[in-house]
Amino acid sequence: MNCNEISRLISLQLDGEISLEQKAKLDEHISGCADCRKEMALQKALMASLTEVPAPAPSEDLGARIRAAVMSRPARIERVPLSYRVFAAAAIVMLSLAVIYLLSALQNIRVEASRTAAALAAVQKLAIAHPKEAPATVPTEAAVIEQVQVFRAVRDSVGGSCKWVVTDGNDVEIGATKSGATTAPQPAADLIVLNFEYSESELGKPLRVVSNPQFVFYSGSEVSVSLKGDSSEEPATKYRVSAEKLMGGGIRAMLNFTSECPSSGEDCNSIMTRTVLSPGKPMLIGAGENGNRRWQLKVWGVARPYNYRGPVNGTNPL
Amino acid sequence: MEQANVPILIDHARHGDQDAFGALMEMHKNAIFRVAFRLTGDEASADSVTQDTFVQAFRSLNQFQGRSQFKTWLYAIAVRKAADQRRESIRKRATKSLDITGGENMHMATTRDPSDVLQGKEFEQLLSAAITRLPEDQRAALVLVAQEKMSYRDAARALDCSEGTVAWRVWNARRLLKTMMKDHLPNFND
Repeated sequence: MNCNEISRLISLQLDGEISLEQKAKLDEHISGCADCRKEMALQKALMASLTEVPAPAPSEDLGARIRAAVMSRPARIERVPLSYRVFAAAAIVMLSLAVIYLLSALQNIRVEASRTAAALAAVQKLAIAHPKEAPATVPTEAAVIEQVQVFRAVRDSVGGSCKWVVTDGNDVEIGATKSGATTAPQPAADLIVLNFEYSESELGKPLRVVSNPQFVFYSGSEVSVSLKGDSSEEPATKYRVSAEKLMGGGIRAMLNFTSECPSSGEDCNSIMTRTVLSPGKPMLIGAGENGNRRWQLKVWGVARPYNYRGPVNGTNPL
Repeated sequence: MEQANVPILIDHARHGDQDAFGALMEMHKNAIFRVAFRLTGDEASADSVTQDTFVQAFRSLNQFQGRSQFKTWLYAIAVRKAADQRRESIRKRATKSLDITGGENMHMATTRDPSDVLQGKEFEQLLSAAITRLPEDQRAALVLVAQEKMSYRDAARALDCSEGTVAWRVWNARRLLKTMMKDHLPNFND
């Protein structure tokens, strides 16, 4: 073996990765080569120095800052690989470039979008801003602002017929008026922001959030949407929701919810309820057991004006 | 906390238990900071990389499949974040690049008599600076293997390459370091 090859064996030796056969060759060569003996000694000294180079301790508050950074976003855990999310985001952008079909107002409605940069940006932002993650039950005010901004952006992009926007991870559904008639934005109009959290698990195991769609729609209007599960093992869910802001600040909501059994494809878990939500307070609106599985549905909601951009004078409306 | 608790903490953290994730973070924070410092060369960058690493880890927890140790997975994130940080710093800095892609002309600038062999703190500082001048992939391999004492197998997982590639990068890093430090190393003669 030449000295160059021996230097590689020296490196393996220092890292404890040398085989017995390689070690024998190394020892044999070193015994007769002064240059390689010198190289061995030098690399050993360098190795020792590398190990001794100190690293400073982190600042004492680093742990607290990491916790704050983690908690400043809702406890969202990615549920799909990054490559899939990137692909999904790209697919949604492509969808906005392609034709988006206008269907019945009572079914999933996709409004034909003009091929504008604003439409691209709005839809792309939706996909990127709402990765498929498990949510916190209580979104932050920043998250609420973002949802309202997204609604405005989509409305501005696809036209004044937009009545509602529902995001669920990388999926975006848009609802329009039945007739397609457009209306000018009403800055003072109230928007209802509802976040749902649907969880399932096998009996005896912790509940796992299956989907967490976010709804933004005009107070007093209705949303009807079907959302697909992430995979064949996760149920599709259907929501029919109407809500209005009450004078006293509460949100009166009517909800029909159904989830599909992954195995049979039939509707299994369902809720039909009317309730009044306290703004900003999560509410468990349904739970049950179905065979060896249990489930629950929570909702959280607030009302915000259409042109809402954040709390005034630092007062957090939540 | 015992290492045996890590899988339990991971499972809890996956379900949104931030306290569980906090415990995981405390267990590994110092090691990640140390690696981040060794990869970036300064405390502020290391601090930033460490934060980014754990935020990413929290968001990507469902992608950890247990094929490697949790620590190895964190190291992989930290290496990527350090690389991002370095690219960002280079973009912001309007100076000549310190990245050296290899070769023999990598002397460490010094005003000292080059025949002096440095000792102690001064040598460590020069060595630390030299490490940050290594090509990114070689630096990462050297830090993980020679300083963090990872096996080639674990380092390969963290760096998303083969064990052979790790061995090659570490070997090259050692050669480059020797070239950069040659004026300050002892003269080992028989």
